[in-house]
Amino acid sequence: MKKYLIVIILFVFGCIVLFEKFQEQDHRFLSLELFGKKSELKILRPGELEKGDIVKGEFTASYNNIGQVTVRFNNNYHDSEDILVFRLREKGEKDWYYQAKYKTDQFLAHRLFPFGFPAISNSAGKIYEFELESLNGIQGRGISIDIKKPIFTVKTMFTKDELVSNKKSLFFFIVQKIFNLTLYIPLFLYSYSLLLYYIFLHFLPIIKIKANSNVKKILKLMIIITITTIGAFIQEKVDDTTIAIVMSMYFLYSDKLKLESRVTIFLAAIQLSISLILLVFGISNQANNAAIWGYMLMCFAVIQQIAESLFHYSPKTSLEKFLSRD
Amino acid sequence: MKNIDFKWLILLIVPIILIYKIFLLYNYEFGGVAGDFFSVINPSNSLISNSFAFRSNLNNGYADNTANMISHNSPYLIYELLLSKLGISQLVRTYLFIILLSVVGCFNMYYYLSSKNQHDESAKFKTLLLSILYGFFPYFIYYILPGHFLILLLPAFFPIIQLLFEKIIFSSKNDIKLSLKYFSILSFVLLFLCTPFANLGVFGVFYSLMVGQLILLLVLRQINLKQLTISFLLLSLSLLISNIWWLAPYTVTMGSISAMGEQSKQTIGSAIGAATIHSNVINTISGFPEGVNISFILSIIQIFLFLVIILSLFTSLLNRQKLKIELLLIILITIFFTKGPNAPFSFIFNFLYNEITLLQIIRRPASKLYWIIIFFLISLISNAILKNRNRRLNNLLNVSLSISVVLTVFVTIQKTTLMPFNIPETYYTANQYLIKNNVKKILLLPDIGGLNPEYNHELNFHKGIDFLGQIWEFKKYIPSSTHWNLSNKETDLVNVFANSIYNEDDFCEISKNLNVSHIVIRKDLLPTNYDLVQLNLADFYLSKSKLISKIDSFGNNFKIFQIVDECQSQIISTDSVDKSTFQIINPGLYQIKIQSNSDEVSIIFKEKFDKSWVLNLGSIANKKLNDYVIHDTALGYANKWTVDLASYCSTMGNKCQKVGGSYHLEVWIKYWPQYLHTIGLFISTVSYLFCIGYLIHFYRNNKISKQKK
Repeated sequence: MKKYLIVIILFVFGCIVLFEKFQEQDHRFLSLELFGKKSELKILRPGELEKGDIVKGEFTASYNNIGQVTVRFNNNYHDSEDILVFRLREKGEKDWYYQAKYKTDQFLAHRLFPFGFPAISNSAGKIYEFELESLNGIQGRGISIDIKKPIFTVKTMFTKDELVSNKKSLFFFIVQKIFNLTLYIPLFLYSYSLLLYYIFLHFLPIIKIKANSNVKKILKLMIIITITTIGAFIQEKVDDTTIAIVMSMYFLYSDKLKLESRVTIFLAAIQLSISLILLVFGISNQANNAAIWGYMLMCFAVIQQIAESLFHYSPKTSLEKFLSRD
Repeated sequence: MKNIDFKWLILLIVPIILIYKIFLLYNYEFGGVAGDFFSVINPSNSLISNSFAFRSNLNNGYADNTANMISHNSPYLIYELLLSKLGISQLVRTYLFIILLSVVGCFNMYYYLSSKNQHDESAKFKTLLLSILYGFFPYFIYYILPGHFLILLLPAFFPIIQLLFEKIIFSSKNDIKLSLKYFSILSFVLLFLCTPFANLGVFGVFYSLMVGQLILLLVLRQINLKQLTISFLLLSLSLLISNIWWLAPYTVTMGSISAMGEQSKQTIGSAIGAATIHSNVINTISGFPEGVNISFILSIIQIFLFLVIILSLFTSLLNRQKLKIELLLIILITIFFTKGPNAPFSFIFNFLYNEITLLQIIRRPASKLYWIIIFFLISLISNAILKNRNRRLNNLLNVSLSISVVLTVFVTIQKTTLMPFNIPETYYTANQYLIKNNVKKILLLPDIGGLNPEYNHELNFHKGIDFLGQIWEFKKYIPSSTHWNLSNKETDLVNVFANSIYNEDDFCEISKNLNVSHIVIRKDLLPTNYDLVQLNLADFYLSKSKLISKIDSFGNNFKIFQIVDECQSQIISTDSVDKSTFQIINPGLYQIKIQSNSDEVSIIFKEKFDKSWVLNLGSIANKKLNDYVIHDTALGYANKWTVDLASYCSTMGNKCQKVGGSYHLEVWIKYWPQYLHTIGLFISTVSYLFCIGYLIHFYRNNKISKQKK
């Protein structure tokens, strides 16, 4: 019963993470999206846009009624004082279909910013081009394009009334939306990773194979490799949600094996050693990521140590046993 | 024994090299970098003259609330005074102070670590290395760069304070008399921290740390509630008696905490993110929370320090030794606050930063908190490595620790460098000239936008804090003020005054209102922070202005314009129909004799309006007088008291005489927080007498009981 309750809690947690991540990606439920590729956006040079710089984009619309282009920006964590002109037209046309000015002080770091325009009814299959021109940009007070995927998106917005009143539209929307959501599979996996991990630990029969400890060894090795390397290398920047997920995973793992605090300190020391090696080679971002995981594991070890000394929690797996071949 | 003496000789080499380095600069009297390298108050003055809670001349006249400066009397100004009386220059005094702090920190740390563990020779050597690392920690040279080196007093004395605090905690379980002994000693040691405590952020951090330790030990069930209560009370009491003498006036004059928080935010570009941009976890753990960009060698030290930390973790694991939770927790919590909004837990930090004013006041978390990490990290390392029996690991530790120490000491010797210069004679002659010409307040041009002045070749191109405030001890108005002070009505008026000169308008009325007697154009600064053309135009306008009665130049440094008498005023004035004379007793006390024909008299005092200025009859505050007095603002910024003489004199006939239809009255304008300083001094003195008495009593009793045994 307790296990199922935990499953429900982890599912709710996953939904919250997914919702937060969708918000972060500016994903709307009643929209269909096209993800722009990096090659479809021409940026003259890296860094912040300077006065007169123009960023050009091009895409082939997949749906009718496109009404929004979102572009990912980075304000480099300072107040940006530029003004951008957004322009859009069908390729080959002389005049711009739409253009408007936007103050960049409203652009957030690493977030997609929406540029709306009157919906284009017969857009499917047509090629469109858009431009972003800086009017006041100077280095240090400007805005830059963030190259994190998706670099830009094109959206077709639907209204609730439109879908309810027209069954054909509703069917089209549902089918397309399912295809559309496949773009977000990594996000789903990320959000429900804790739940999947819990199921993996407590429900799959593979864990219950006791006769041969090879599976356990593989699992142990996987955990060590995951904790010690992936955290440092995969993510460009470690965010609090990822920390919460990974540390919860480690909690589930240490709870299952009843690890003593010294095991966690050992893993922390390994993380800090990786951090040191990366620091020596001047890979400072990744070195910091490894140090963050080292710091988090130390925090976890302190909690474990308090549980051991104050609440007489008796761990079954000592560091020596954890590192042994058994 | 011989071996140990030899080790200590190694430590002695460091100050000797540094002292040699100083004496190569014997041609220079002053030295500084962009920071607080000059003592805040002129050390050639007496201690008493440095003990006024109001000093309008300080900080260019804008930091009226100078009570916190009193705290510098202990110990920094006493040190300055003693050495200046011995004829030692400011340059040498400053260098010696830094060296002294490093050596004191080193010795105190050695004493602390030795008291914790029984050592063999190998452990003693490691303890010495760790102590040198603590005393000469490379991060501390960052304090020298921005000039806040006075804060170094805290890490230098902290090991001894921590030791006494721990002794209080553990003796309070069974032996309260012993706790009182340690409390008495602690109260004396805390006197060394009054100077850094003038920064309330530092005081807050220190108090939070000590109380936090007590709570932590209680939660970890290492002490009981009785120990917590006794230790908390004794700690608070020792802090009170060692600081009340300066803290009492400061609490009145400092203004609201939220205003201080706002001011702090302004000085860091309104964003904590800017102040902690380099304080990520790796930099914070490995010894450089504010980056390592000033020298390549610091990157190498960072790597070796990090290696020592990691090796000590592996050592404790190998020896099946548990890390001390309380030490680890303090380090982890301090890292959390030092790293600011950087990952991890950025949202928690941001929430706390917005909700807790203390966090906003500490401005650059690393500068206020980092000594805690260094101290507890070295304690943790010492705890982990001293009992290690693994030879290979021991060798590795010795090598990495030795390299860290050698590099650290090398960096200290190499990087502790001040810009030497001499102050030209014209600064002193101009000062004498102004005093001779009855200077009241001066308007000092140009406006350098609150930035540090950059001096010309005569001052060796020194760039740093303005030392004019020390040599010219009268109030100086500078337009735009400094960026670390919030704008007020007085500064607004000064800006109007400066603009009227730049616009070639009449400034007679405003100079009268501000009580300015001279305008000084300084030419000793490079035009990097101001508009030279505008300054030359102002010079040209003033040179031909009818409002100027006298012009004198002092070398290439100053041009002084004396304002005509009609456009000058007195600092204290009454209505034109009344006759009044006044005498300045000290910066916070004025005696005024009034003869008035009307039933009501208005006294205007041309210092920025502040409720702390009060009008008294005689030298003692008289509550009855307050019933007939209204304290208000005048001239847009100044103090004004309106006294109802008819009512007052009818009830207090003996103190207010009416002769031939006119009232004769003697009143005093006082800055009342000065009394808090006096009361605080009295409380501290009595408490310290008690402490001395108790210590004598304790040791005598101990001796008697030993003799009996």
